[in-house]
Amino acid sequence: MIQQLGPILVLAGVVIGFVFLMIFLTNLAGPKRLSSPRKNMPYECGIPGTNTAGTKFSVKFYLTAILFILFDIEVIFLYPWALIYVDFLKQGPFIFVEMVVFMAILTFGLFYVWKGHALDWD
Amino acid sequence: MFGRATLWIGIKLKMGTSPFEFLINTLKVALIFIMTVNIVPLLVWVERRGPAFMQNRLGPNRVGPLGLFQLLADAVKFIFKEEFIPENANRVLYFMAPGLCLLPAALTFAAVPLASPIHIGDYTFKIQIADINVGIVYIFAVASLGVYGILSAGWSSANKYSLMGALRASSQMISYELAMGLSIIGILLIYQSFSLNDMVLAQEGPLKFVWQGKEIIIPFLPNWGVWYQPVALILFMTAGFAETNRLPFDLPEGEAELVAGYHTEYGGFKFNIFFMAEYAHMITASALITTLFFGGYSLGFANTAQVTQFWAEHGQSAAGMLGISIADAATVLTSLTHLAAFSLKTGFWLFIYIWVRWTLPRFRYDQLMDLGWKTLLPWALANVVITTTIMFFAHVGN
Amino acid sequence: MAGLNIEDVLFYAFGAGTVLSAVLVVFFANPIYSALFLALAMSMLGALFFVLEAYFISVAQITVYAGAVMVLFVMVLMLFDLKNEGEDILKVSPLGLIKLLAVGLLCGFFIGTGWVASKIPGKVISETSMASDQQTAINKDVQPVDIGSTVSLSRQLFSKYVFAFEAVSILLLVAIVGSVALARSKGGTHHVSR
Repeated sequence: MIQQLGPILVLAGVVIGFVFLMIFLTNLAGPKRLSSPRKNMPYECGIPGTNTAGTKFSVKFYLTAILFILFDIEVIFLYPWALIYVDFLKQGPFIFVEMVVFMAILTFGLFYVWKGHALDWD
Repeated sequence: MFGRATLWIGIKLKMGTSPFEFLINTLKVALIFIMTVNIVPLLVWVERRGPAFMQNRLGPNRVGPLGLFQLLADAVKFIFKEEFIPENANRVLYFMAPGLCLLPAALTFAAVPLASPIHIGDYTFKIQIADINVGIVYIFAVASLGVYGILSAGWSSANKYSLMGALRASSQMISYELAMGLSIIGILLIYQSFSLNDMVLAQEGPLKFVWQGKEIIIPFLPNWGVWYQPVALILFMTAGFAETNRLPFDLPEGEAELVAGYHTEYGGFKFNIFFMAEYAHMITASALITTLFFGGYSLGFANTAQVTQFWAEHGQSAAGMLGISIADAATVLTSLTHLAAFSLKTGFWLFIYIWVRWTLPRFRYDQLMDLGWKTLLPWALANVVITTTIMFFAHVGN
Repeated sequence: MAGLNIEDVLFYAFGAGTVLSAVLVVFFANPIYSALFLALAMSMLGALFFVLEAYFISVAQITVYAGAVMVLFVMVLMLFDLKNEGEDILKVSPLGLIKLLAVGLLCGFFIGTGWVASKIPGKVISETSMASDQQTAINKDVQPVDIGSTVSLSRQLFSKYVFAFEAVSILLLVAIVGSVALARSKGGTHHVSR
């Protein structure tokens, strides 16, 4: 375990140290902050911004994220299955049928989502 | 006292049994990371000169020979730029977002084997940062954490266009993560191991597979994954383009549309870190394509033992120079050969990335999401089912 | 420093990280901070699984929990322009006291269950499960592999627990249908009626 985790922790330390070092260097070397109201405005291609009263919430993002969770769980189940598939085939077609059933149920779910217009406009 | 504590921690972290091994392992981690960071200027040079020739113009060619120092000049310029923060921005997240983007990008490269192991004396050094036994799943897990950097950058900028760009980018990334994860199931079925090292070792030698008890060998083709899973290669490549937000999928940082998407309000070195993260993702994706489908570091025509033997016969001078035994020098030279092969293959795929970027027009956002959910996902599922069925007929009752 | 293993040090470090992140979830008033610290807590939990040599569960935890579920939370929170939560955790109010009481009851439940379980003769539990595992191994003529490696995990999952596995697929299907129904009821999907 530690032979795998140790280098990763060291790498994470190196990356974080690198980012901190670079930001520190930039703080040292750059010109001091001169703030003006024009410069601090949110950037909208240079024209003065129009402050709309909050963006309308689009439910497409929520749907995409939820469907991603569900199909991600399916993929997570497929990973260990792929490891032992050839091994278990020696005992007959059970492992094949089992996974076909699993994927068929979830493919039906994908079909339902598709036909239910939940994937449109996004 | 402090030195001894550091050495103890270092030895415990690395399982190195002597300071020499600990030093080499730490150097290896630092070197691979620095190498990743330094390939970025080279890549950007290719990205500016190569497509310039494609577009019938010369790219930057003033700074240094052939314009090679252009990005060095750019990096130095970035360091001297002003530290800027917009008015209503969330300070903590604004400063942390580039780091949050770079950390997963760098961590994913850790599991990729770059060359064959080196034996010096009693020690064996593997040329990768960590040989994780759940290699490919680890890479997908850490890559899925890259979404937080983009979301933090977009939200903390207090700019509604940044926020919309960030949300669209993250929706795109998670949609294509699905297709990417599914496309390698076929590869896993064939190699039956998550570890990338095992996959590279399995791809040595000529093309050989078992069909209902008979072993079929095709001697003139290497045992690469692309012959077994061509559809998966196309799916993986396409999903890789979308994951790294490269054209034709770069609407979130659409250069003519959302200004610069989630990194609009960033300047100076923080902006540079975002680009390093994107190129690091690109490098990892190319390295993965090479490792999964094209044999990784192995040469197509000779396996590791043959290469080691070749260098044992011809590598006397190197052994004399380094002061180690001939067998050890042979492994070092073998490793260098393999590293060159790996770099060539990965470099080829990186060039394909850059070539596609400057050739294809950009997708509209709904076309992009349709492609991810309604084309790639069904094709990936079909690939899994077909591979499963073929393996079933190849192995049933064995 | 005798007996101080690196495994122990990492376990305590990641455990402390998880607990600290979880505490910070309820500490901050800004909901985005809370969500991000919850994502950090999930990642720390994944690292903890890695230290305990449950490699596949570790990456599954990070992929699904930290990389999918918390991404959903953070995305939705960023879409809403939420103001900071008004109630300070230190302000004394009836609602705050009720919340504290509920958390106390939950903690008491966990501790109580653990205490009761420790009173059951330990030998009986471990011997029973070990005996059944040995029996299974002898019956199936499979040499007992190390518990916890991915291959042994998947062997168990797809032979002994196959019903649970198929039930998970039904559960996911119900969740898919439910989420589409939810979104549609709020007027979200641009459904053109015939």
